[in-house]
Amino acid sequence: MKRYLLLLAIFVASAGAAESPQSLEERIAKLEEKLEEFEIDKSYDRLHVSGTYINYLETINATSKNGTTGEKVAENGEIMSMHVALNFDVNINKNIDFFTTLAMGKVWNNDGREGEEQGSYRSYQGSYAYAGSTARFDVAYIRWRTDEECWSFALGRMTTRGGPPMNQLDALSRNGTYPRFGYNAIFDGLAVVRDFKAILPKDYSVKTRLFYTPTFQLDSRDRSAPAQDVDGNAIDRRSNQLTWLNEFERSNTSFAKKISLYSMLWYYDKFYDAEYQSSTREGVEYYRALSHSLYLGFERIAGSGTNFSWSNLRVNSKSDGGTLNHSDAHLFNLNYTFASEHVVGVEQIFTDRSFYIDDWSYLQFNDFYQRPSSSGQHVFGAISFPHRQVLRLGVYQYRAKVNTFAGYDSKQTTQNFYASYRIDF
Amino acid sequence: MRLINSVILCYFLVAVSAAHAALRDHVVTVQRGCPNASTLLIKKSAVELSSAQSCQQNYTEKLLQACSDMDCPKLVESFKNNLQDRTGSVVGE
Repeated sequence: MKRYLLLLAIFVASAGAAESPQSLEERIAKLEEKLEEFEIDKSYDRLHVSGTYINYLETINATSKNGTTGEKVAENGEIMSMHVALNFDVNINKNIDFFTTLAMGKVWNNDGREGEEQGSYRSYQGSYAYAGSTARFDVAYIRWRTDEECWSFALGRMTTRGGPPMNQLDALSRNGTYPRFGYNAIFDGLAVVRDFKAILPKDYSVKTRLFYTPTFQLDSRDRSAPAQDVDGNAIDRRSNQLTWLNEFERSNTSFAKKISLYSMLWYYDKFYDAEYQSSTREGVEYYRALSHSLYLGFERIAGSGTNFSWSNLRVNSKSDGGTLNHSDAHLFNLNYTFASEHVVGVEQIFTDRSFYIDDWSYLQFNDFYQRPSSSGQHVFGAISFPHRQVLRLGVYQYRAKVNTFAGYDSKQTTQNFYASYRIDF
Repeated sequence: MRLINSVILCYFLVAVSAAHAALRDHVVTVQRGCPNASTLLIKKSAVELSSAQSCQQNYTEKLLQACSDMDCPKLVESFKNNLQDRTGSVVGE
């Protein structure tokens, strides 16, 4: 009996042993199948979609008084607008990314605006021209990055607008390259960026960014012909522009969580502006400029939520046959960001008589950041809601003197209130 | 058994390499300040932060409890940098 039981045990054991490798192979096959599915899914999952949706209300409340006649003019009203930006970013491989933003900006129930007449300015404005419900590409550039991420190269329509400190108004991270109070426009071109992090100690960051963003002028119909001015003179096809942005950052100091010092130098020449052509001078009148913008920012001062920044803009510009103009302006931003991401703050601006800023892509309906001979404040408060929603309320107010040099023959007082609802997704 | 281990290892290699570089950066940054926190907890917290950048959330609170050198503002900032990288909003970053 014992012998039969032993034989039975051996048979069951051998049967189990024979079955075991088979089920193991099946399980491996199933796992491999799942792994393949996963790999296939991942290979198609290179597209990342995100976006921003803004609705904006601004009240217009301006009073001007003519410097010669003393005539007073009051302007009142409200404007409501929206801006939508959809980002489609493709991670081509670990070194190459392609970024796009398809955006639309419009005044409510108005599709009649065209924005600037000159093609170059329309390009700098992008969707911020409020040109109606037709979407435009505000961003379309490819970025190559080395394995160590020390070198980056970019080509295309880049994220040059809306730089610091504008992100702090809504408690966001930096979302633009050029400092806001330097150059605020969308540029097409080439960029090379060097990040020195590999050779720097922890908490230090030095980056240098070089941009080549030429502007081209062509006839509006015949692409092989140059554009012409009102007198029929041929306009040079290319206006060169070079921008050199150097950034130094120091983190985790006893004074502030982050100290940022950005210096941006740019130069352009042979720039044609249809509106500023001398009626007495023969031929096309071109402009050239050498400008510098400095941004000094302190974030989370003394461990609190206090942020402070100073932006300075100096422009030296000259037209053919004209005199050299120097302009100087300052923008101070002081804000407090609470742990709940709510923000309260104030901006103070001072501009001189010949102040000029290339400011093309913005949402507001006032010239707070552009008006020469002015001083003003922008007081704001932002409330953050779950799911990255921000409601910001504020007022832009300034006083500007008569400035015949810049074409303002009235002094002006402006006090525009606004409300902005934003959601990032 | 060795084959199963290989398959599992292969799975994680693919999963890690396919994970977005920015999320990986976020995980590395957080791990520096929270050496005792598991990667899964950091990722769970990142999912919460993607819907609301508040630290008063289940996994994010647990994560911060496990951190010796990471407070709420630092964690949110790391996450924001992660988002920024995804949209290429600063040229070269």
